[in-house]
Amino acid sequence: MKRRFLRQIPMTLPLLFAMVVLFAIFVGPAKYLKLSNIMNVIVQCTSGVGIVALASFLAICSTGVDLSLGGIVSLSGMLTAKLLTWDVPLLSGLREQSPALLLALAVLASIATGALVGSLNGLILSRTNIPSFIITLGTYKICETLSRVIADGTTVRVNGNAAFEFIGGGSLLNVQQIVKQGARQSVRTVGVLPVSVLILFFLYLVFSIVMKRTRFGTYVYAIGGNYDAAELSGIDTRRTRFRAFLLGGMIAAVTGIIMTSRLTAASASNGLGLEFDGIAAAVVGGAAMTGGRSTPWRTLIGAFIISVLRNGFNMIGMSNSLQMIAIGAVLIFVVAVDAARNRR
Amino acid sequence: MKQAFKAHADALSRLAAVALIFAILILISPSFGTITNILNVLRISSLTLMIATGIAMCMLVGGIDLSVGATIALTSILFGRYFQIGHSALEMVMGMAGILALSAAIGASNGLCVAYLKLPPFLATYGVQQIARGLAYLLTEGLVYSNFTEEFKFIGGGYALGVPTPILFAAALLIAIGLMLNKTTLGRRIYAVGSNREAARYSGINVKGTLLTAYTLSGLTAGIAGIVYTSRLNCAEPTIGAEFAQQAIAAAAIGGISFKGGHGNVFGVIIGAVILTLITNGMTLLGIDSNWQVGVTGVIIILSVLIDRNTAKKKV
Amino acid sequence: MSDTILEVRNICKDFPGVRALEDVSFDLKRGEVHILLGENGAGKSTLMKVLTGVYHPEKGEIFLNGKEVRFETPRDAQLMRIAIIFQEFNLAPNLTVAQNIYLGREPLKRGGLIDRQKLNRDARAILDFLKADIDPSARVEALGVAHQQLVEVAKALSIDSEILIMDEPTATLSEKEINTLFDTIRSLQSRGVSIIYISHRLQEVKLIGNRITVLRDGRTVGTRDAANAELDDLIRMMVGREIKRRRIREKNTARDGFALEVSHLSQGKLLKDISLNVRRGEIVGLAGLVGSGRTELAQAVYGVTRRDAGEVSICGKPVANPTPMKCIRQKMGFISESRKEFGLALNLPIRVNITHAGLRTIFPSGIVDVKKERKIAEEFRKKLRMATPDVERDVKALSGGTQQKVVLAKWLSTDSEFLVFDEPTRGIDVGAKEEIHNMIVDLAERGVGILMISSDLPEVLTLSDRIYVMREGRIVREIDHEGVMQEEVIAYATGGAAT
Repeated sequence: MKRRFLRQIPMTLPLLFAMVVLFAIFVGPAKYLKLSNIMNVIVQCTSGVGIVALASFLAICSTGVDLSLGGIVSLSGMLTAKLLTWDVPLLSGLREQSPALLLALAVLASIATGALVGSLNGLILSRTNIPSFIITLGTYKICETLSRVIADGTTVRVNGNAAFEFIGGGSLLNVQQIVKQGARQSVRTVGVLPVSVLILFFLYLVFSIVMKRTRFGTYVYAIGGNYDAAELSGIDTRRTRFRAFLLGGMIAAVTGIIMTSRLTAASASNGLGLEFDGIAAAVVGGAAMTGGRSTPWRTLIGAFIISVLRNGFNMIGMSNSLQMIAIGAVLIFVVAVDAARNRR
Repeated sequence: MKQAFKAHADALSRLAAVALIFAILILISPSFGTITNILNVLRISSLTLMIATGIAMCMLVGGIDLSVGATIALTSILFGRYFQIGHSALEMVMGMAGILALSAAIGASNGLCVAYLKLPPFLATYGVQQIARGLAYLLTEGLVYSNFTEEFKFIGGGYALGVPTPILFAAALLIAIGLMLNKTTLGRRIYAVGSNREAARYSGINVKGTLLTAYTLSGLTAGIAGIVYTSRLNCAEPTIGAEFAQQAIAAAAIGGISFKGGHGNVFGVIIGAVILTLITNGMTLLGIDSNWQVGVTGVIIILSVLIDRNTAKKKV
Repeated sequence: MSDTILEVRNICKDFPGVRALEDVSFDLKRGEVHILLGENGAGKSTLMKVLTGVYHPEKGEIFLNGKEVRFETPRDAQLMRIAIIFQEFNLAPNLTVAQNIYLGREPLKRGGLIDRQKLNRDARAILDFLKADIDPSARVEALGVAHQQLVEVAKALSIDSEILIMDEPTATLSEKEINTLFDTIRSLQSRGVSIIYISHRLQEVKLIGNRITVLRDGRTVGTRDAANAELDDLIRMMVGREIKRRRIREKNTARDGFALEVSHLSQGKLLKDISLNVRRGEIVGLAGLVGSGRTELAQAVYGVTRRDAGEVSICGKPVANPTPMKCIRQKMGFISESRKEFGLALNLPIRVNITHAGLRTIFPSGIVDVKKERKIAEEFRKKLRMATPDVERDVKALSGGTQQKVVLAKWLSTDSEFLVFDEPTRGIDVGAKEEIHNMIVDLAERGVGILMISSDLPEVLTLSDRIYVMREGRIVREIDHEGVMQEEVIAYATGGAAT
């Protein structure tokens, strides 16, 4: 079992390693390898690309593509924030009497929304011949619209909700660090076991099992490998693809919740564009656009690569425009090398 | 005769969709049917059209081009930065030629990645898009450029033969590319590569060269569109064009260009672009809030593709 | 229990514009191997798809064990224990052998997760029964063609089928593998499985079949007992006209000058130090088993893959780093064995496909003259007797034999002087086969050098002036045509003779 795992380690893991080393050198080990920075990268990942990449992976593996993920992130985050802060009799009452219940409600509503959008994608995809590209483009716009409508031009802030902030900003384990600044000393708390990271790992663990050990997972791979064979074997390809997108929507909604929690605010533009990062992460992690390849864990590595890149660039003070250039170049490089390797 | 009818059934059904939408819009708002408004619709859609034509070529060879928006931005910035009032007409023309060459080069680099590095088109063009847009931001240095000569403003904002110039540019581009696809060996090669890449290779078709050409042309059309757009906006910004890739792809797909490759033609692209614009224009006339417009557009895209009987059976 | 397990009565199936099956009736007895014989376009494929729920017939009934049944989906047929093995395998390359065998029917543990141990165990059991040396946890894409087919057979066995339909099962198998397959079929028979066996290979049908039904143009022509069926009779039923069996090659038309010269070509582990040549006007047969490297050799010559060592000259000129483009310019053509993968752009019209290899020469100005193209295509339509009313149709709508003719037309329009034919008549009916053979001879008489790769030994023997036999990546024998026997070629191909 262990040997098979080792054999499966793709090029991406060494790449990640190399990047970390490079940045450490450039930025200076003292600054880069600091616990607070490392945790920073990780948390940025979880509230951004990290979980969305999993949804992208599901879509891509079943020979589709999900462009609505960013919209779902935005909408679910906005919905959560709104439900937690809306000054409406029913919710205000709940907020005072049982804030925990309100929080649970908001989270559930948010995930349900993601499920709804995902199932809309899946439904149209399975009942018609329209490419997923177009469908999710459409639903993306719908999500963005709804998000903007709810926001009504403002940023919805969620203040003073410790329980909510715990989701995205809290940590199960904290480490106290003493920071020396000249003559002064102060204590800094670094969360080393962030809740959001736990959520992320939990999701990836679950889906890793799902892909390897359930019929659904096998069918997703089968569809990607040979669609006709899957159909002829009696697999309900429509239902499988429907489920893939349904789950993807729910996964994206989780990101929305975490993101809003971490920022303690939701604006309609949050999360828009993450679908592309998600696709990049999945592909860098080894997924083929033709479907049927890669695994959740590899996708996670891909997501980390992208996050490490962004974080590293920020650290060396690269301007935003240069960052774009660099990430584009790295993406091309990574995929080219992988393609070259696979061809042999 | 019957077979000709069948072959064009898709185009006809799409045309019917356009007519339907048109009719509904006129019913809702009589001012929609005026010549001014129609020309307006055509003018707006001409930009999407130009880009969609370029992307359609990439789709025909089985790929996609996400970098068009960034190419437009870069083209725009370069022009804005270097060609304001004070330059002679000759310098402007040379400048435009140079910029078009650059946009073609961007397309070519997409093509190189796809054809020679064998990268998936989605990713290659996404990467190039990042690079191009980053460059656009870099070159802007935070300023906005908008001091253009009258001649330049004419390109995008003028009228010729009573018709807005963007329409003419789009028409010219469409005719050129349409002719290329249907009547030249390059067009044949594009369809062959898109339909079955390996078979094309075995038939001695230069697959890599064809891919390169298709992507280069896409870049070139984006460059042309960029110049026209900048002229029309009368200002150059690095942020423009972000939504163009999506729109153009939607227009092409609505118009029947299959994502698998080798299927579809220019006429469909026209219809797709027009449908897209009609809807947006219609909504504005109806006074629909811009927030909702985005959503409705999404729904309409899905619905209008449902009309398409020829959509590829699976994938993407 | 009645003897007849399946009865098909008066089945009619229409497609837009064409009636594919007309009043088709036949019956299958329990435990028999019933051969379905017919040309391409005869309707065998369509009938199979009706029997497995892919198509719904317009008219007619199907009776299973005396009860009438209707198949709405392939699943229904599966549930009725009818399994089918297609010619083009339906395996997911990225999944393992065991996963493919049980796709859609994975055993579950309590809790809903797949029981992987049981999956592999059960797969192992079936593979052992088939005497297949395959690891159930290996990915299908890592297997060779023959092994992949065994996985397909295993798949059919895993649903405990009562009726097994096999479509050209021996097309890609070696002699030894065919014998193993026949043994398997016989043991399946003894277990009570009834088999519908579709084949063109007349020499096989009497070996393995109990009864033979011939289809032609969507109708059943007749049924014979395999034991006393006569080949000429069968052929006549399939084709509707007399085919005289005679040696086609009356004289050797080889001329001076070489169309192809290969010396010391090597490629990785596949090809080792190969030297051969083909004269102008000569037909050289390349015989050998599947996997001996024949297609790989041709691909290396054509530039589809890169060779590691050796020289190649085409029509007198050495070609250093060949690409199909360069080779075509050197007047070489390649008719590959897999027309759907490498020979045709399926969704494009016939006439467009025909000009694909000659764009530069047919339209030197770069502008396409559709009238000229149509004219060229029409000429070939008539000359090759393509089963299509016009040249505007998309190629994917045509039958296999007609598709092959389109590929042929494509290369004939390029004025090549050296042609490689890889399995030119595979999956093609007897009538079209003869036409293609005549075409090949015609080309040779006009001075074209031909390298013909074929697993159809009678074809090789009848047409070739010389024969090279390949085994495991080497040329093991060059045989001059005079007096060679089929057995001799087989001996060299399998290593039975001293080399």
